[in-house]
Amino acid sequence: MLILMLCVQVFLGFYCLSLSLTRHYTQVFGATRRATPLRVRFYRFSGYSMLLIALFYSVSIWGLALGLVYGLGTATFTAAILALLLTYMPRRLTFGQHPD
Amino acid sequence: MMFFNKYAGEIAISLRVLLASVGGFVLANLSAIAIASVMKADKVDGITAGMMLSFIVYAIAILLVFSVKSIRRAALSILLPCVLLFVWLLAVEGVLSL
Amino acid sequence: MKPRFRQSMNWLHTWSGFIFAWLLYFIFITGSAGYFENEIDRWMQPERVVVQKPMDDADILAMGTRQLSQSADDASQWYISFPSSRDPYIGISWLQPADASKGTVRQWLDRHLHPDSGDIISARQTSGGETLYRLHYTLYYMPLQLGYILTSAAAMLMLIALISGVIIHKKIFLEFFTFRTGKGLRSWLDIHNIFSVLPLPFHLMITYSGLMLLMTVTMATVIDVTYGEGEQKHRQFYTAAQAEITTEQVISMSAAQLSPEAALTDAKARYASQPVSYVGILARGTENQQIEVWFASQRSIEFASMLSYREQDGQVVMSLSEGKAGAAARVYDVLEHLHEGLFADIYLRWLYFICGLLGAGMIATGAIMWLKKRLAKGQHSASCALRRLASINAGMILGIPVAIACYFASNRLLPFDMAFRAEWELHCLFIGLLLSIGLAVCSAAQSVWRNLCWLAAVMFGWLPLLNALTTEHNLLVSLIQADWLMLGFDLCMLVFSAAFVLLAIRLSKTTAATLSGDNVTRPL
Repeated sequence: MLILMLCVQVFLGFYCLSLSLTRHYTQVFGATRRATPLRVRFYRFSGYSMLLIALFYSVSIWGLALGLVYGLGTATFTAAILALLLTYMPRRLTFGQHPD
Repeated sequence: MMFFNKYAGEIAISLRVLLASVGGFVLANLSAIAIASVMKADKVDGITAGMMLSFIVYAIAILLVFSVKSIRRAALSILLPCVLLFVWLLAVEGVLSL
Repeated sequence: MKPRFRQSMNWLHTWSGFIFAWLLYFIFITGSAGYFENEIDRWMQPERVVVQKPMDDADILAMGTRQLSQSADDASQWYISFPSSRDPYIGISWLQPADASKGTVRQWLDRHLHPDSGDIISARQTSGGETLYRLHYTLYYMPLQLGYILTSAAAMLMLIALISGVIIHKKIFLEFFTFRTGKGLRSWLDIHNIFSVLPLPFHLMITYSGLMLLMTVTMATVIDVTYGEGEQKHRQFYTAAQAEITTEQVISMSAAQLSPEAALTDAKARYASQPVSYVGILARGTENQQIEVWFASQRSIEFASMLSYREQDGQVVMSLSEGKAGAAARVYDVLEHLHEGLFADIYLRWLYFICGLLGAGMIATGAIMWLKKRLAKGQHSASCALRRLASINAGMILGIPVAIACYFASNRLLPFDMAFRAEWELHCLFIGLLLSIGLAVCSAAQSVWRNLCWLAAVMFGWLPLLNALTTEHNLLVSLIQADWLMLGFDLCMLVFSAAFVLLAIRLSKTTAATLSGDNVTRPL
């Protein structure tokens, strides 16, 4: 359960970060859409803060050494999953959002 | 001289490879010994630290040899620290002997 | 950044990565398999009996010491291992002394006990998971020293390739999640980037710590100069470098009472929450007899912590080790534990394994790109040697998984009491590799990868079947008996097989597309 929480946090962090990049934003929401500069900044900020929260979370649970191992390992794993999702089923990643 | 002109590129690359692998290795060893002799407080631990850091020295040396413009500068940037460390270890620390 | 600098780094990345690519690939695959050493051991010795119901630690200790005093009374060191989730059996091991009259040599022996009767289980001889993971730095068919040096050289080049790779990768953040399909070399580069950038912390850690673990061999000159030459001096250095801080205290137990049972009871009272993993009896029958109680450590990256009991001036002294004495030695320790991952629970263990496979994928895609670039340059005039190299490359990349499957299969197929059985399992591994390379060389260029994928799929797929046919373990029995290790292994083999089948089908499709006019080779 603790691990699942960590996975969700890291995934959300990377998800927001990927949306802050035009290439992935268009992949998810359609080729003609562009995020407004404000939105890009929002995505970037929330992505990095989510990753920071995830790091604090894992360190607080498993201690510094083991927490870093859990955090980095999970980051590798979830980022790989996200890359696959972005490539093969990007439309699933809208999560009912309406970017307009 | 024909030979050198024809294969100038290959010779330069081979020299750099040689300089990086052998020169880098010597420099890594010398710097490990230097670190060990600086950390006198705990001799064994100093040696451990020296050996661990030597791989970083080796990696930097290799990257350096392949990144500088002329092969002369590459040679200088490896050989000069080697000589300096060697002399220092020989004369000041007395760790090495001939 | 200056373009010339980037160009030279590009050159360095290409060549430092390529020279030892096959060796590095072999190291990554066997090393990753090593993270499941115990699980592989269980599969390769199906005779072991799993402890199903919880047993009292004191009973296990009594069972172990009884059996050890029968079969190893002359040994100076005994260890009894307690069941854990990764090793759910009772094990004993002892240091057999050299005895010319009996023809025995000094070596560690270990056996497993039947949890009901306490008798030694007679199990097949096997190289097991340990030898498989040791392959990643001994390389087997060569002197140990040479294996260490070759491995270190490969690791050094890997480190160089990693650093120069980071330097030349222009858009490391921009292309973090990018994988564009169906774009030829571009797609290969994307996937190469994903395999290297996402697990970059793992790659750097594993390469650097790998170099460090073999540093007493590769940097032996440093010890020669600073500490002293000769094997004896080197061993002395090693002992000194491993020195630990210990706290000692006299405990309220009379010397006469000191026994393995009393030590176990005392240790368990001190650490009630932690499970005992080993009890060791060292320097048996001498004045310095010492009893060690090891606990499986949790929530830290150390593998275990140990309490030791011995007699001194009529009193019992207990000592607790608190890590390495030196600062550098502590860093060494952390990196060693990170490399070996013995502390990892099942989740982290899988992450380690996946990261290792991603590393292997990184090397494989790098080698494939190297060849593709050169093959594309002279579309029609590509030399025969280059084409041959491309097929051997395919044979290596898919041949090593096939070879490991051969290793597992040989464990079930070789005669039970064959001489040098354990060695022959390893010979089978390398024979499997050679045969796959042979197959690759003989196949037509378009179908090399597909053929090898089918071969790998078959080799992994029939392992559970083989297990069911030659032993009393099959998927259903393992499920009913809750033998998770056996079940997990068989299922993993099926998953690997399925992955190879998918890959093979995908490859057939792209080959068909290539033949019908589309000249770009697409990955996936």
